[in-house]
Amino acid sequence: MRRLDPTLTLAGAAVIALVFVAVRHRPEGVTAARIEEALAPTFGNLVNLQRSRLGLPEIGSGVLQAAAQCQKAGATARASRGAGEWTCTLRWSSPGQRLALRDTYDLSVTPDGCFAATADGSEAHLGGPTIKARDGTSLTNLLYRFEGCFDTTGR
Amino acid sequence: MPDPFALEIVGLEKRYGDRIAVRGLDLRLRPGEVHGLLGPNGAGKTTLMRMVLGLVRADAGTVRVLGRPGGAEAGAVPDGVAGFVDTPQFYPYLSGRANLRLVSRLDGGLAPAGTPAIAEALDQAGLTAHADAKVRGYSAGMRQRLGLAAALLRNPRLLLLDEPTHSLDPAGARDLRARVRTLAAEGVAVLWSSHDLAEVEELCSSLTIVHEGRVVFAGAMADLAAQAPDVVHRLRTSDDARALEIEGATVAPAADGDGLDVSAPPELAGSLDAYMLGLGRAGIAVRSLERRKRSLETLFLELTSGEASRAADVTHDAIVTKREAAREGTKPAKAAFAPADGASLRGAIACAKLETAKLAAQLRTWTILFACLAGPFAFAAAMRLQSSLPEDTLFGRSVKASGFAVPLVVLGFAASWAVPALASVASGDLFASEDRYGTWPTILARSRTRGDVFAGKLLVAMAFSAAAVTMLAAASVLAGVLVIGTQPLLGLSGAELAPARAMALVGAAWASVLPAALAFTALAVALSVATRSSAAGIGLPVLVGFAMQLVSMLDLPGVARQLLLTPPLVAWHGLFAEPAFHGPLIEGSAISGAYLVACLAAASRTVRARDAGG
Repeated sequence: MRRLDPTLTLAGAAVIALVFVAVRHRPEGVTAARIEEALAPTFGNLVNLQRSRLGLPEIGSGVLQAAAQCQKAGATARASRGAGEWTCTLRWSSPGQRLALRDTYDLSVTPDGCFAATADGSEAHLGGPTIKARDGTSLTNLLYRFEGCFDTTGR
Repeated sequence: MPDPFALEIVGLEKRYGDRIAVRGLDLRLRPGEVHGLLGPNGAGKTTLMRMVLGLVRADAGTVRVLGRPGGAEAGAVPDGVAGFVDTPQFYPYLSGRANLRLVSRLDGGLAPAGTPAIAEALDQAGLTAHADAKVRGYSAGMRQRLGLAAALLRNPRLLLLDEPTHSLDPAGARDLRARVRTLAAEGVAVLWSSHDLAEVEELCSSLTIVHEGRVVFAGAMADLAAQAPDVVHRLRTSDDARALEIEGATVAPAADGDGLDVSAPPELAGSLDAYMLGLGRAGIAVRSLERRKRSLETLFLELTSGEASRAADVTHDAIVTKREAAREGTKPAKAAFAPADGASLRGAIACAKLETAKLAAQLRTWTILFACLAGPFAFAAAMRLQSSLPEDTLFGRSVKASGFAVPLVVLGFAASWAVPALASVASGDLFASEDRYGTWPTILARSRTRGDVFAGKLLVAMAFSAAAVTMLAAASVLAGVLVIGTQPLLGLSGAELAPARAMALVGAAWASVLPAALAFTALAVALSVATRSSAAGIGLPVLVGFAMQLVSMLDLPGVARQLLLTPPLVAWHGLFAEPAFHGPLIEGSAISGAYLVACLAAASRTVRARDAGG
């Protein structure tokens, strides 16, 4: 039986691997929907983590109802896609508040799907970079600036 | 019936572009024979030796050594065959003894019983006094002695020595010739290449003279002597014109006008005496008489002149021709271009041991590993002391809050340059250093195939890269835990990760960059092989990593981004999301695998096809 040339075998394997990568469903990368789907639950988790550190009770997701709407800086809503600077509006509810709260974040989004979100002029709701605990100690405000990642390769 | 020849070369040819280095060369060598391979510089002697040792691939013809196929066709140099070409080269940062220990590993257990020990080989080569000195301090003559010792370790029955005395002092050359005579008396066949006729005449029983790649004489020393012209003397007298008329010898005015050339046939020993007496009787004073040329030297110069070269085919008929060879059952065949140079597990492991020993002997290796260990501790200590945080890096805001953020920030920094650098620092040098030191012939003239050597080097390159990255990871985790602590880690979806889970994810994150690190290793190997330069082998992958990092920061179309090797280095981010996503990891592993196999296929093909030292 004729033996396979190992070099050709390796080269063939490389081509197969490349084809595998190429034929995978190609998603559209960074999109508004993906950012929104990642930002809102991350914010919700951080709200409760912050409350926990402050000794406050947790807010259920049904009460919080965080939702985000994002748009890339300098682009229309329809053309918003790709890495760069984004602005997102977060709507959320807090116990005791009749109306939904509305806060704005500036996001720096990288092509690999990670973002750093910084609160934009919403200190009334969110506070500054640090907050005071009940005992007077200074804590990092988890909601002022936070980071997260989302999948740019999935459906 | 056993093969009567220790070495049998038929119709061997080698071309370098338009230049024919060796053309249709035949040669036979019996056990116990010391055969001179004589010719001026550039005649093709060394190329012939290289082809016999398999360092250079022949374009046509066959080589049989000790009754088996030899040359590149054999894959590895058969047991019992040893030798060196040019001035043998070794690893300069090791001692002579350590070098011998290394190269003997390439013979493994294949060398026949009775192989002299390294100390004995050093003693036989006259190098015992310098055996433990670094080879970088050796003279060319000492390297030749070390080359001889390396050859003797193979317990040779066929020994090929390429101008072995050209760097030795007279006493060393004498000792070597005595050693070769002893070996020949023990049945070892020796092919002794030289451009020094006197040396060949003293040592060899037979010889082949080559010129411009052709055989212009082949036979016994006595046959050459029989063809030699008369001895020529340069005579100066008080009256050269009258001296021309004296009978008894062949006399002619010297071509340079300085006196007369007098020759007398050797069988008429008294003719020169009679001529000199005749001069005296004629009243012609002899002012000087000196032997101008040795007769063999005259013949050699004639044979290796342009005229002789053009007439070489006539001389060639006197020796074993292709037609005769065919009649005797050794029909020349087109040289094989698919030599048996594949890798075996045993051979690859032997070569890997050699490479590991070389790496372990280099200070650079330990410096890099120490930096991998110490760097993260320095970083963690600096983070603890500083008031600012590396907020631009993922998890940078958490380095003071959780020790598990430290290895992730280190990984974030390392992804852009340290991983490519660690991946290439050893692998980019493993192949090119053989070119730099000229040691390819040293390691390929042993019992391992090129495939073994390639696989062994590759194993070590991959293992070193993986070990360096693993050490950096382990040190980063340790530094974070010891300097900062084991607090829960804030994940990338706003949820806290318990220490045990954070630890597991950190381990997975570092493990996820290994495929890309190995792909950079393969890239370094390919560049090192292609350029034969360690600087390129080490530096270019780092530059490629930087360039890809810059490109990946652009908002490229998805497919273009997929073809880069740097996104796999940050594909671990998805592990820290809730729920975790693995798409980038799968894609990254696939693209890393593609780079890896493509680079290795190219490097392997180049190493196998390339002439060594040719």
